Amino acid sequence: MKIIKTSILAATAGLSMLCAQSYAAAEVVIIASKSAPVSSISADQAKSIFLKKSVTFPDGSSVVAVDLPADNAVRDEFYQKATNKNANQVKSYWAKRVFTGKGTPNDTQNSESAVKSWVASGANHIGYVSSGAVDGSVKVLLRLP
Amino acid sequence: MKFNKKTMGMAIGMACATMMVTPAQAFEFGAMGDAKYMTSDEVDATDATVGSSAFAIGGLDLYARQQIDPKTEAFIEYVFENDGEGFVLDLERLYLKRDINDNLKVGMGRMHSPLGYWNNTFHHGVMIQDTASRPSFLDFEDGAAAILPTHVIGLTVEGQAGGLGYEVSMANSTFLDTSITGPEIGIGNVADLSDDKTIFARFTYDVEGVNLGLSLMNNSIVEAAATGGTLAQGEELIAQSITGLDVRYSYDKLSVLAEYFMMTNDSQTGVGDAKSHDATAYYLQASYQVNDQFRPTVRIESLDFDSSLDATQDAYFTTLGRNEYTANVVALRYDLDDSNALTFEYKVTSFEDATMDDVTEMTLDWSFLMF
Repeated sequence: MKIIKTSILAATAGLSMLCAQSYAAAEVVIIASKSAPVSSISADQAKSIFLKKSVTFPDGSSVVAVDLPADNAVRDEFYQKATNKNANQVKSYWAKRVFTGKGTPNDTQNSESAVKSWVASGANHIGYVSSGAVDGSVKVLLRLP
Repeated sequence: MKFNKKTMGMAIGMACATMMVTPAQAFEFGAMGDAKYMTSDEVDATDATVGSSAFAIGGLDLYARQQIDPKTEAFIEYVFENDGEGFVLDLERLYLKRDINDNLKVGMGRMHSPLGYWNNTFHHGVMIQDTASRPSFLDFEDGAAAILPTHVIGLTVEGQAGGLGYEVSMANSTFLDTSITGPEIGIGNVADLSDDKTIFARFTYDVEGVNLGLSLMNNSIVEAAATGGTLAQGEELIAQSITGLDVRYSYDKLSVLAEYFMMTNDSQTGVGDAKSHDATAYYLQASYQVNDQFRPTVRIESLDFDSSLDATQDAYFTTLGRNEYTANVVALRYDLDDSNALTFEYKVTSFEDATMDDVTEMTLDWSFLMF
């Protein structure tokens, strides 16, 4: 009985690790409204927009970015890939920007579906979701594998 | 702005209460602080040592911001700091700002003076500086080396016009209590001793990676002493104007930051020699980001004015009790993480007055950021 319990625990742990690994490899995509003025952006442009160092799309029109909530796994994955910053570094970045009056964090939407709805509602809106959450209501500007 | 124990307790309670607000209300809270070990070989006029070697806690800076409606933000900042006699709680910033449109914002309250880059940006944020100390002439109003009003209480208009950033402020005038030796530079938090408001203007522009700033200030410094002062309370002591230039440039891992201030102090009738005097202050700082952790920095700073060594003396600096100086700073910052850093700093200050000995200070500062 003890052996069975141990095996179940080991299998559960292994499965958890497998899931974690498969999530870590999940693709995150940057999305915009279908009426957005651009059809793609570069990784550097994405970094500038989500860190609010740039408030325009590459064509010069205004852009407003939205985040998923802190502690959201997709958000952490996105920032790691787009800005090379982990969750703690992103928090630190915004804390310094707020202190120096240079900027404030992006507004947040509670879920990926809420991000999609918000992004679809405005030509200058931009957000990110996992690739599996994309549907026809938005267009993909950049894939971050 | 100092508080007694009762108001300090209330302030702490309010700070704790605000800390408990949930993130859903888009409330951003942060704190910065530092602890350090300092040595100084400073001596007084009799060659008696006044410097020491000691551990010390620096300031504790608590700040919070909230978007209280879609167009209005509120910002508060309290700092616990040692004023030489014990820890006091200072209200450093308290303001509201409202977006009029994408390029225009109006604010009111107590803010950082828009004088140069360092004062406007780093201020009490030791954690975000490259060195443990700030240039001495940029000391806070109640500091031993202060020469500038580093805060304003007033109205500000700021925004962007094309690539030009601008900030124009009208604020309460500054005051000096000439009945005491070495008074602080006073700014009226709840009243103004003069109807002549201080005017600040700051313009910023980026040219191919070079960040340029121009700061202007026109200030009426008035007598604060009720009795025993040079003039009657509220009368103008000095008409002061300041022009400041700042430049920031980064190339690969090298960053350069420089600020130059030109000050003109017109002493009014009955004040000093009742003449106009010019003064200059500058610093030039260069940093090199070796890797993610190490960042060495060098800085030279200087303050020059008409002192007792010259034919005539600038009453502004004489009243404040300041000395002309040049300082050389070498610092090495080691970032343990994005939230805390160790900085070792070696600073030598030489005075224009040859009777004053050089002062060597060494500081090991451990600063942090909570968020």
